[in-house]
Parts: sequence; C-alpha cells; structure tokens
Amino acid sequence: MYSMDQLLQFDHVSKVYMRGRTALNNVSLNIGSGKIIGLLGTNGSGKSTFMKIAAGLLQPSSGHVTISGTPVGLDTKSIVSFMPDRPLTEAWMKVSDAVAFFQDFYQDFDVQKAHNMLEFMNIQLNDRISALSKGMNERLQLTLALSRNARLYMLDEPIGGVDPVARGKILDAIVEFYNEDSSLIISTHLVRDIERIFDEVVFIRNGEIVLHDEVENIRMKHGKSVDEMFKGVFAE
Amino acid sequence: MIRLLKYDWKRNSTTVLGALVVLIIAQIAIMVMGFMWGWLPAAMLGLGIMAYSSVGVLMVVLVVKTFDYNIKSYQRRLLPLHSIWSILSPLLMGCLGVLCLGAVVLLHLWMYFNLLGLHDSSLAFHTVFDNWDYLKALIMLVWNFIFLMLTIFFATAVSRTTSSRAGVWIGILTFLVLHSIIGWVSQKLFGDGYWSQSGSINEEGVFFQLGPVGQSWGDAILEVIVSILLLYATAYLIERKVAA
Repeated sequence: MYSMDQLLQFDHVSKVYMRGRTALNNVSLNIGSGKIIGLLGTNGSGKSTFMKIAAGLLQPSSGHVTISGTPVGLDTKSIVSFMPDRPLTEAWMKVSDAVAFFQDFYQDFDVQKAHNMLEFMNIQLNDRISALSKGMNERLQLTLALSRNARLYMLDEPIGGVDPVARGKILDAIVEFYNEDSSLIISTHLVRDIERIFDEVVFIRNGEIVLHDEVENIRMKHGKSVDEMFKGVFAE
Repeated sequence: MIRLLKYDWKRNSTTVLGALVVLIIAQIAIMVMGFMWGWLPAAMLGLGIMAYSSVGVLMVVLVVKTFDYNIKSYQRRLLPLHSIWSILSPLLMGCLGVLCLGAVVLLHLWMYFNLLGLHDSSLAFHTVFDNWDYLKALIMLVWNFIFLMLTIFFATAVSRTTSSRAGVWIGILTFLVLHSIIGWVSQKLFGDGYWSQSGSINEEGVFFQLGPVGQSWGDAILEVIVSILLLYATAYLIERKVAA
C-alpha cells in the first residue's frame, strides 16, 4: 500500500537476465522523501540493476516498482533524474549542446542552476565533451542530473574511477546543489569517501537487501562507522 | 519529434553533408568526362544512378544506425517521451533525405531529357515517364522507403531483445521472414504487383520502370496496415523488451 511519505517503493522485485543470472532477488524496499541514501554493495551486487529498474530502463522479471505511487514508466521519467554509469551526452556535443538538450526535453531543468554548477565545476560551455577528462566528464554528468528539479535523484557510482581531487569536488557539489525536498540515492562501493553525506544506507549483496538502516542507528547500535560495517558485512 | 530530429540531424550532419559534396563532385565529373569523351547517354546515366544509389544506401545505413543507437542510448531512453517518437524521428530524417535525393535525381533526369536533349534509342526512360509520373514516382519512392525502414526498425528491435551475438542473425532472419510473409500475403490477396519497381538492361539498352506501375490499391492498403502494426510492435519492444 502506498504511503504519502514513501517516494520509492520496491515490492517483491526480482530481475533475472536472459542467461539465467539473478541480479535482484525478491527485493522489497521503501525510500522516503528528503533523504540521502547510500546504496552500497560490491561490484555485481545488483546496485545498477536496482537503479535502472527504478529509472525505467529495465523491466523487472517480477514484482512492482512505484515512484510517488505511480508505476515506473513514462510518467515517472519526468520526476526521476538518473545519472547512469554511461554518459548522458554524445561525443559530437559541446557542453552548451548538452545543456540545451536537457533544457529541450526536461521541463524541470533549471538552466541557471546548471550554469552555477558548471562554474563551480570549472567547466566551460564551449568545451567539447569528447575533450573532457574522465573526472571532468563525471562532473558534467552530475551537473546535468542535479540541475533538474526532480523528486528523486539517482547517481550510479558518481565517484567511481576518478582521482581524489575530482572525488572531493563531486561530493562538495552534491552537498551544495542537492535539492533537500527530494531524495537522493547514491550507489557506490567507495564507502569511506562518501559516508559523511548519507542519512540512510542500504546494503545489497547478491541481489538481496541485507541491511537498511539510518546511519545514526548504525553508529549508535553497533558503534561502527558505515565503512567498518560495510567491510564486516561484505568480508569474504 | 522535431526536437529529437534536431539532435539526430546534428549527430549525422557531417556525414550527410560530406556524402552530398562527394555526390555533387561525382555527378559533375561524370557529366564533364561524358561530354569530353563522347560517352553514350546510357553510360552517363548508368554511372550517375550508381552514384545516387550509393548515397541512397548510405542514407539507409545512417537511418538504421541512428535508430539502433537511440534505442540503446540511456540519454534517449530516459527522456519522458513515448517510444513512438524514437521511431518516427529517424524515419522523418530518412524521408527528408530520400525526398531531397529523389528530387535531385528527378531534376537530373529532367535536365538530361529536356535541357540537354539526350534522347537516345538506348534509353527507355522517356517512354515510361510523363510529367505527372515524376511526382508519383517521388511519392512512391518515399513510401517504399518508409515501409522498408519500418521493417528494418522492427527487425533491429527484435535483434536487440537479446544481448547474445545471435541477435544480429535473429534480426536478419526476422527481416527476411517478415518480407516473405508480406509478399506472400500480398500475392495471395492481390496477385502480382507487390514489387513496384523493376529494371532491366539488355543489348538494346536500359529499360527502367520506377513508380506506381504495378502497385494496386490493395497492396498499398496492406502496406499501410502492416506499417501501423510494425510501428506499435516496435514501440512495444523498445519499451518492454529492449535493454538499454
């Protein structure tokens, strides 16, 4: 049953890929509004599949997913902003083309916010996207995703594969430009760098949710940081 | 759709404009060399048609590549737009390209026959076409292109429902089976005439039939119905079955 303060609901969702690999196994999860949630798991644990299903890029094999009570589909795409593990831009584009693209297709895209973020990220509108470094490209993708006034933001590995300087800049930008009325889900396995910004964490292992709790509770109940808890849960 | 078309065009504009420049240079070269060395009009026309055909094939490949890219692209799949527009946008781009190319071809033919006076016993074109048929030929060219593209789009979407390497072969098989079935149904219902274009070259010259000749209303209605079904089936596959 949908509750008003539940933004994202996964109800017994499974995803089995064609060759029989189970990416999600009977996942049920509720995410409320106004939270920053860490979706934490090792490589191949099902984090990206979870996000792609919530974004409407993949269909679940079974179960239901709703956002603000609406089944994931065309309608929810206009209230979800997803930064996937592949670029949302094309190689021929300049940064200005990418901004224009988002402005053309998303009614909630805030151009002024995008310009402010680009300035914060040291990216010029005239820059060619194909000439940007990996770190700068990650900054651009984040700018495009966060410049929408969406209900739910999902960032898939936003700091994966970038150097510590870019990592710090990206985290600062998330904190600075995140819309507090919305919820933000960040998937990562680099827990120590990012745990300071989480309100809640979800641990996902082999396609199953093994822990969903507030960061404060983890610290109070277990006397551990999220990183220490993560290492404990995922120790092989 | 126009906004999608804008970005499809921007992605492909360099290739299209480059091909156009090469085509113009090739046609001028054929005409200049033909007049300088006294080639038969049929030879000049044949070479010219080969050049146009090459650009036509390039256009088909570009349109299919654009569609294929779009249905896998996160950037496009995340847009709050119905999948129908992902089909219609590259289709419209292709139609505009074919229309432009077809208009240039017909203008070129008209110039050959009416300005340069290249009537020749080895060419049967002037016996096939009157002025009204030029327009009908252009309309049929665009319609046949739309129908071909929709069948290729459907086959491409089917091939993308699987991530295995067999996907390409499944797509090719789907295309061939689809055309065989449509051809068979058309022949059973309306007799001969599904193929609206035909051409032949023999020792007496070039004989080319292009246009509405042989296309019955029944064929046309069947193609329209199949096209609509293909459009919605392809949109369904993109939304429900094709993994980005």
